[in-house]
Amino acid sequence: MNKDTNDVSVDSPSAVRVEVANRRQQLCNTILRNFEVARLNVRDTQISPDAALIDFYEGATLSIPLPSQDTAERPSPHPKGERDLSAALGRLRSAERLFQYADGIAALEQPVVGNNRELLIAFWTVAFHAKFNAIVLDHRQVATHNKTFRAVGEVLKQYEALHRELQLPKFSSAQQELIGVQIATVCGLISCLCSQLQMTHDQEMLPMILDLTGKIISTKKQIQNLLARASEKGKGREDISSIESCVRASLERVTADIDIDKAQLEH
Amino acid sequence: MQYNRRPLDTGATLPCNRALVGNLVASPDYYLLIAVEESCYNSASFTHPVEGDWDNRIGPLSIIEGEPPMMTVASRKLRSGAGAVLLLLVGNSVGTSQGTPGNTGTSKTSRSESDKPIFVKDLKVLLPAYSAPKPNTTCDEKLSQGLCQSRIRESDLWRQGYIEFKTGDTLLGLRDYQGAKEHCLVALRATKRLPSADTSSQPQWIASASDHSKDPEECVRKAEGAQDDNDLRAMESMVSLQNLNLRTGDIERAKAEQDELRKQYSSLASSSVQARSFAEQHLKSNWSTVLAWFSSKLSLVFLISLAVLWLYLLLVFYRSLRNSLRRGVLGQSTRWFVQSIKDDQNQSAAGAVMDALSISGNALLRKPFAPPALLLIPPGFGGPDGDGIWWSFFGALRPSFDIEKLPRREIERHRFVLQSELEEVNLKIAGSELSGLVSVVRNISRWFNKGLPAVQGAVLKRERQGQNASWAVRLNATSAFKWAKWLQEERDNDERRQENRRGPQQCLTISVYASTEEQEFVDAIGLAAQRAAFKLFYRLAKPDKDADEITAIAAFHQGVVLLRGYL
Repeated sequence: MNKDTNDVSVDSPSAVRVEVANRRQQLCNTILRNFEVARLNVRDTQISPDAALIDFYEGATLSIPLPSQDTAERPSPHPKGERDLSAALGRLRSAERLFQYADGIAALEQPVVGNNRELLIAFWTVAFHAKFNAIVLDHRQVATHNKTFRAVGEVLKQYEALHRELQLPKFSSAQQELIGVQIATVCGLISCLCSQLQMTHDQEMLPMILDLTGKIISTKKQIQNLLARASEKGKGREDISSIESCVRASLERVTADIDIDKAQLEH
Repeated sequence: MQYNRRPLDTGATLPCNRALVGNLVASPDYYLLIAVEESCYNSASFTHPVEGDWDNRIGPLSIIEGEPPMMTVASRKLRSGAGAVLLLLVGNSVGTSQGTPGNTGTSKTSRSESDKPIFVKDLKVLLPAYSAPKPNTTCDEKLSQGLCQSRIRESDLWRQGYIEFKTGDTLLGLRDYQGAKEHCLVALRATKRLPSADTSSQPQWIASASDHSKDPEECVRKAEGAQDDNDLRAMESMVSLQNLNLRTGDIERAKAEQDELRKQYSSLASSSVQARSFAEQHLKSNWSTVLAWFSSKLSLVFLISLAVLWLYLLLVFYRSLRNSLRRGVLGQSTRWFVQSIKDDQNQSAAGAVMDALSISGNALLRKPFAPPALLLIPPGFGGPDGDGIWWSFFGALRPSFDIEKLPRREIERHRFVLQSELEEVNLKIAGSELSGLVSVVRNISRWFNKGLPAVQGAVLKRERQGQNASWAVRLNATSAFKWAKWLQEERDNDERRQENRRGPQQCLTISVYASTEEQEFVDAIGLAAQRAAFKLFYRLAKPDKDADEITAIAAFHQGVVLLRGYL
């Protein structure tokens, strides 16, 4: 087995997957150790914005999916889907502490200008990213292990709360930096709605279909508006088309078996 | 002592109108004994010196009137060391004569030849040797008896002198000069105790002496001369050896030789005139000789010292000029010489470290590096397993945190060059490796580069019981004061003024360390080298930054880079 980090030369596809999976796991360990070292060396880790930022990346690292079932050939501490993401959630939620710093900065002066404004926007951006990622981790857990209407509904509420928070006037000055997380949040929303619509259809809860369809249509419009706004700024052309196709695919998947007004949804 | 003397038979009878004048050399064993004919005795007036200081030394001469009445004997035991000229007048009409002790007595009378005093040398008569004349013997018989005894004694002295002379002469032939001298001196003393007025009466042994010497005096003279020659040669040899030591610069041995020479000089006989003179001359001029030697060398030493000093100053000037030019030519960048990277485990770690010390090669320093916006993809939008990450979703940018910012401008002012040429050179002449030459050249090179920014590194493997081993990289950067000051010129004036108030800066020394646990699929040395190099760059760029913060920044950047590169 070639152990070179940048080169893999094995014959069996299964062996390749094992190789890649194990490599990924080792690298995750290395990455996490680096962030741990960084966090420990930042002074006053409980309040430092740098520490919160490190936590954000550390949490994101912990969310990295572990190797597939092929790794069963080699012992792994975390079999597929069984990885404990509580640590990652904890790290990401600790990043929300950045809002406190942002509020502290905002309380110092109004309007916030100069370096403080940049710092304020940085806090908000990372904090919203962390908050969104924490919701996605929950969402992934639900989608994998607990895909019930209620559980998805809980996740949906988190997306909605985040979406509302992002639209608060005090964050209007950071709309340009937050547009990515706004679009991602709406994507999460529509994903949850599509899941609920699917479950509603599967469980024959017909009265709710119309309501969910309406929400999906509304959410889709929000996505389109956001994509249009992003397009005006000349940002993320590839991302726009990717999201559009993803939304279209999600809706097609849902409506394939549901007898609803497809034209209305696709409009 | 030389006297104007005339031979006098001690036992001779003097006419009544003659004066007996003698020079006395006192000895505790000798007594003055004077016999005067009876016919003269009654009409004689004995006068003895009573004048001057020497009178006290001799004391009054007493006249002893003994038996028989026709003999009058004057006897006096003389004190040791006393000397005087005795004027003994026999009869009524003689003048006086006197002299100083040890000098020739001179008669001041102006009488006829027959009235002149007879000078006597060493008028000594051994009292024990004198046997009193038999009673009722005539004066002539008594005198004949005394004369006979005197001749017997004389014969003994000659015999003794002869034996001693022959012994000394033999030793002289055998080159035992010291022994020869001692025996010949004894012979000479015996000879001098004999009356010397009549040379014809000298015995035959002197004439039949060997070729070495003809008489004791010559024997003594030759022995002393030969001994002197020997001593002189020994002294000369010693001095030559000392001069040789001085020339070779062995001062300690020269001093030992000098002490030995002084010791030998003190033991020299007084007769070794040449040797003593030579030694005295050398001893007196010893340190002047040393000084002279130093003086002779001083000019050479001075010239060499001056040349070395000039060469040193020239090299220092060249080094200073070279460094200044290098600084000026390089402008805003600083070239650091990586002098060595120790790699005891032979992991070829020098390459990894040098790669990390390159701005383009170190992943943590690659430009542009912006920490990405990172969003997890919600289920339904990602991969088949509901995973995936959006990197910089919609080009989402945000202002950076401090930990994300890199002082790129300051970092890019530093370049690291491996100074490994000399390490690789192996000269071989006639099959033997000249590693010493390489070492010398390397040290000279280091001297020329003294004060220039230099880096030394080491790659270490740390074994821990029960845990994976880890690889550590340590880099030590040093630079002289001027360079350190120049490196920080970019600081604002306030900070510099504050520093100036704190006093002059020390030489810059920065030591950084990073380690990475050894794992499968992970290039632990490379990762550790990247972080160590990053920390070194960062600390050079921001000398005031807390080292722990820099460690955090390095670890954070590497974490983000790995996260981005392998997911």
